[in-house]
Amino acid sequence: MIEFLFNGEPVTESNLDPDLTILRYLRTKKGSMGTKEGCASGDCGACTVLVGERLAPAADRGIDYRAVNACIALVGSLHGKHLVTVEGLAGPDDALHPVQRAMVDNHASQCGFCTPGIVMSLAALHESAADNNVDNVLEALSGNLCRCTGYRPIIDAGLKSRTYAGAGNGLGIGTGVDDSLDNTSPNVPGKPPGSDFSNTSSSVPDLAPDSGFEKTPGSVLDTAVSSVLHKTANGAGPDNAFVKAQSHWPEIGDRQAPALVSPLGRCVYPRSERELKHCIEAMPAARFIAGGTDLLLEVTQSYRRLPQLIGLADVAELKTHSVTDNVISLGGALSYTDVCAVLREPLPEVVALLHRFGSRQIRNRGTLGGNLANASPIGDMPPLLLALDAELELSTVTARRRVAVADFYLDYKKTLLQPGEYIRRIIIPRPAAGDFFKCYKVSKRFEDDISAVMLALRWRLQQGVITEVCLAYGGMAAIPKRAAGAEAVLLGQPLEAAAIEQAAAALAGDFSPLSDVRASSQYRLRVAGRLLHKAFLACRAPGVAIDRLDDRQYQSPARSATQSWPS
Amino acid sequence: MRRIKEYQVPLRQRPPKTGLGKPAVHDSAVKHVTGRARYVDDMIMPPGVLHLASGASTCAHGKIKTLDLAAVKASDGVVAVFTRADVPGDIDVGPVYAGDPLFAGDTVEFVGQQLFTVAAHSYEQAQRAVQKAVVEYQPLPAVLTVSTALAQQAFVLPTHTMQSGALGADDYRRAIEAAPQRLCNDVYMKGQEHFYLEGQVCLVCPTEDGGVHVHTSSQHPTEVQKLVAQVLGLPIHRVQAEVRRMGGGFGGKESQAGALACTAAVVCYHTGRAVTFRLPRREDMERTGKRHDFLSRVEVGFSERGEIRGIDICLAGKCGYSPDLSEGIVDRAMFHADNAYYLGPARVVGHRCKTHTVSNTAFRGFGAPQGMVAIEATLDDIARRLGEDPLTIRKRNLYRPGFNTTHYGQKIEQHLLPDIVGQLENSSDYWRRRAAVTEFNRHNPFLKKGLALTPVKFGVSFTATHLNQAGALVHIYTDGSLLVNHAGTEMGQGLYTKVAQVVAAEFGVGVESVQVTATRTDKVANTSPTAASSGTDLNGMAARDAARQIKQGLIEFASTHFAVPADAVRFADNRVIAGTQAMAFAAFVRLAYLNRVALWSSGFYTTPKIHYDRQSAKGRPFFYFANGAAAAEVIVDTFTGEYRVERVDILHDVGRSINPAIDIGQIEGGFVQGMGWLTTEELMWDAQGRVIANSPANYKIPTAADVPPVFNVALYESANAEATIFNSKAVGEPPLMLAISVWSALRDACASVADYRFSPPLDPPATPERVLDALDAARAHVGGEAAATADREVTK
Repeated sequence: MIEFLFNGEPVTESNLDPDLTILRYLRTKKGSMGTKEGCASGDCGACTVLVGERLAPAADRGIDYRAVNACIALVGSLHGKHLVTVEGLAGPDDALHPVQRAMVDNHASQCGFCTPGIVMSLAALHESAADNNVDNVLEALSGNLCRCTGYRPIIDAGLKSRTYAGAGNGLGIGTGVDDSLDNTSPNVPGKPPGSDFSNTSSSVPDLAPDSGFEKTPGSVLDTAVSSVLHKTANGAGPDNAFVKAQSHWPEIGDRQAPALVSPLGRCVYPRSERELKHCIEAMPAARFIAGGTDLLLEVTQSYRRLPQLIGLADVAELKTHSVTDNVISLGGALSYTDVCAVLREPLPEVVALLHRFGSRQIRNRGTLGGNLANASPIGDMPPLLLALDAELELSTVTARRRVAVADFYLDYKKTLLQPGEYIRRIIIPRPAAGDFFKCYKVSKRFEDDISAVMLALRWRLQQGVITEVCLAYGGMAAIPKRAAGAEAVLLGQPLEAAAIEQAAAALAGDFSPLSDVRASSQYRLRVAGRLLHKAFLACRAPGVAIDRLDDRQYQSPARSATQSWPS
Repeated sequence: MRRIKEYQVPLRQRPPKTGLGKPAVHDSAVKHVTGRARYVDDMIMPPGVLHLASGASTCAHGKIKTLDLAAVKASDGVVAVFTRADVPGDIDVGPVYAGDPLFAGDTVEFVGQQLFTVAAHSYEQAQRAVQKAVVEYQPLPAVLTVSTALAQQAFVLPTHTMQSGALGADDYRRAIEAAPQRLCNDVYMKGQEHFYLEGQVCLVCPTEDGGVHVHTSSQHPTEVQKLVAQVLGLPIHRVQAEVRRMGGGFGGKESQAGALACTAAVVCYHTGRAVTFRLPRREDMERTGKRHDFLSRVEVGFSERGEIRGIDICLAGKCGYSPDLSEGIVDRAMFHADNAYYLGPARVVGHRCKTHTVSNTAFRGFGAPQGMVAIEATLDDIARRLGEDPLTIRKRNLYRPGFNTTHYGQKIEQHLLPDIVGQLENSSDYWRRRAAVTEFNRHNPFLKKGLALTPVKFGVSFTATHLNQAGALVHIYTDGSLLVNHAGTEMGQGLYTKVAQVVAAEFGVGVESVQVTATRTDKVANTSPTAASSGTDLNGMAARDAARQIKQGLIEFASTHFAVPADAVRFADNRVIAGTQAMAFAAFVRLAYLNRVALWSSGFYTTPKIHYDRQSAKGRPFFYFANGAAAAEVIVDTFTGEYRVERVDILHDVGRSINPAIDIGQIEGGFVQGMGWLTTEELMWDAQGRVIANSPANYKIPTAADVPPVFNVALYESANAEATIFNSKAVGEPPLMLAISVWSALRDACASVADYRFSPPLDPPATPERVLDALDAARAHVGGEAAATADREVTK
């Protein structure tokens, strides 16, 4: 049996198939049709919902709400959590959530099919402690595709949603015929409801970035400033799911190892490593599921069944981390969002790259351990870990072992993992002072695209000579792989253009990449070499502008929808 | 007697305006943001509804040797399996020409062609059952590319030629040869997946008359109705189709919804049960048509000032295995091969290549984008040859008085583009930025910037003249509320909102008084597709006609009742004013009802002035042209070919805007969609003819982060000189082609490494890989010239 809150109300489920996704649950069992299926593969965001989790069981404030793709998340994973769908945002009598009002007033929906997902992604940001500045709005939207609007009004709605908070619940529906629109404030084509924008702006409550939520000592979320936290103090808005949930949290239990059982099979979500081991022994044929962002494609794309599942995402020991002067240790079930929070200070380069890895929704769900175990040849994290000489701690019911990431990958989609063995933690030595570390991702699209080529590179210079070098590539072979030949060229050489040239040439001996839907073999090889040149320049002439593409400033349009209308 | 409650309009708080020209919010906006807007798959399914999944060919061209469906039939939850033999009426569901069998016969002609369909109790059961089919093929030679089709002269329809002189004359050839300069180019531009967020879907329910009611996500409910009737062998009046809204269409639901509805109708016919059919995303991407790939070949003669003196353009569209809408699409590409420029003596030849791939179909622009890319590429090439700025060359070639006849004989009567381009040149600060870009490129060996300003001139009207008609129904109820129904469908473009504004304006009431309901073939019959950007032009006029007929009766009644002349009766501010007297609109309506005045009417509209004779390829196919221009600036990473669009300025002509918020939404959305087509969206097929870009994981449409950080969009203020509704202009398609500026700017950045003296080939989509190729070609050109110079030095 599992218990969770659904739009603020307690729900108990027991007889559901273990592989039932949240999206199919909503649409076929609950008749909750606001959440849409656009792709069923976690790539479009039309099914975005929020999943809220208490930061500390005792606290009745401080709920971590994260945007999740309902199409590739299991109902079973909801135990003890709060599922919020688009139907839960508004209060009674169409008292719209500020994000909904901002979307309407900014003309940010056209066909409307992506809109519920977009509203949820922006609501996640709106309800969080993070600023809704351009970077955060774009990141919040990184997993949401819209084919109609061109996004500009959606971005503007995201930027302005907080100006709608606390301004009353009425919606200026039909405001388009309202006289006041002719001379509305320069940034808002429709005005925020209530009265004049200029009058209400002074009464908008102060939304200090860190007000109203509690930090849980020791939690990863201490550092996750961009993570989603519900502000009960400032949650000015309608009487909606967030508000209702507050009184119901105590009603949903903390049962041990919650499970769903159906004639098809069962899925279990152990809470501790002890329970996990017990489950492994009891269900030897079960597959592990962490975030499920890849595994569940078997269900939604190939219609395969997953009758026996053991969830890793709630195992407490797999969600811890530590950072010392020398080593970073990450629990295998930490989500990428959590990983980014931990690495922000010690490895900012990695965090910058991970912002292009998957989408916000995928990073909220996908785990580092799951990504490594899945052994995709095009994952972005393995090359990074190779370059950093990381190790993995693997565990079975009876034994633990440590292996180097470099030894972990055997072949396409094959690893050292034995049946019943899971990735317990990832141990990353911190680059030494004097180490040069750089990573590059090349893909057709900047956001949420799988790399054509990925390079993570680390070298150590002593008196201008390369004494240690690791060039780890993704997308170049069936497994994430180091360029042994190119490394050999560089090792012991002075860091000069000529050496880089030779190393780039040697890559042709290291790799015979494929031509596929993402890039041709020739392009991959060519770019693999040019990234070496790029890194060389970044190392030798850090002032030279070569990375401008990642650094951009969104400006609200000078005219666009804000111009005065011709009449 | 019970008092009828009057429709509440809060007069005091909100002085009613007609709403025309105002940025009224989309009629479904609140429903969109709350999740209450219902799409077909959200409908409450009737009890016992059956779910379909279809088996499709995995062979591009071949004979079916074995089709063993025993395991499919035995699969869990399966109710029945249907094949070609189960179709009671016509098997062909081609929209214009025959050639699209609902189920394949002995031969398959593309990967994804429907072989059979499975009806099961659930969607997943149907999908699982399909996988159990055993199909074997005897492969036949497959034509998979345009070049092969051209070599084999494999066409789905005959080649068509447009020529500025008489057909068959060689004046274009003589003009090219007489010109001081000549050049040739080839551009192969790939197609585009629609990626409407809501995939193809329908729900077909049996009626008590032995017919069916079809809920479909279609831009063309009348065609769905007609095809379903044909397939079932029923008179059309037994079949009704209904569309409340689509989750995006973009042309992809103009003809493609038909086969889906027909398949479900066949199952409904045999089982007597409601049937729903929804394509999962991957199948949608593999089995439904896309924008056509085109190969363009241009030979142009031009003056030393870059003025085109004569041109020969060949456009070959990849149509796929059947004609579908390709006749009109390739025609429209040909009509727009001039874009905004006077070509002089010109010949434009259009081929409709038959390939063993899915039949390509309508997509926003309907061929025009490909025609325009061909000519814009040519203008860039001319500029590079002459060492001039491409904008200078573009301006010299714009249509202008005296140089105003197109290659199909239509005269350009309104010359807005010189002014639009001039205004944008100033507002975007083109020349100062050109200097800054050149300076930047001189000092940055690794990053290169590009800048381009390109115009768009888009002909508005269906080129199949008979489609330029529409009907509408307007009802006024006795509480003063209005209901409108018309021939157009809502796919997000705001058509319902604009038509509501038109009707509200006629009666002087607020737009919230007008409800627009689902488009249904039993309300307005024989509708044209909502396509060709014509939705508001046609349906706005039809709705206004209906409103005016009702108004005429109301005016006559008011004139008699209040004893005032007819011209003293006005409708304004939610009131009816008769001379010195005034009455609330709702009260007046009720009075009219009690006096037996008709409160509803139909309306009808046909577009005037248009004609086109395809035999001579001459006429006036377009009622008017919509114009615009865009300036785009990009920055390119020369290590990888990756790039960003840094700034875009747009000035676009929508005539007198009915709703500027909706029009700007169309411009921004169309631009970004066009940018996707020309940059990151890459259709990929393998050597066996299978679509391998078949999911959003490997087919990348723009995201929010791809929106230019500086994105200025302005409406060009100018009423349409033709008598369109409110003197507005169509806006659905034209802005898509503004994105050619991005592609041209990327070429500009690549050309910078050859000091702008070489025009590197950059076939769309300009993915980072192709941009890197273009950069390398430009570098090689410089290297080659240096080597050639060195050679000359040596030989001297």
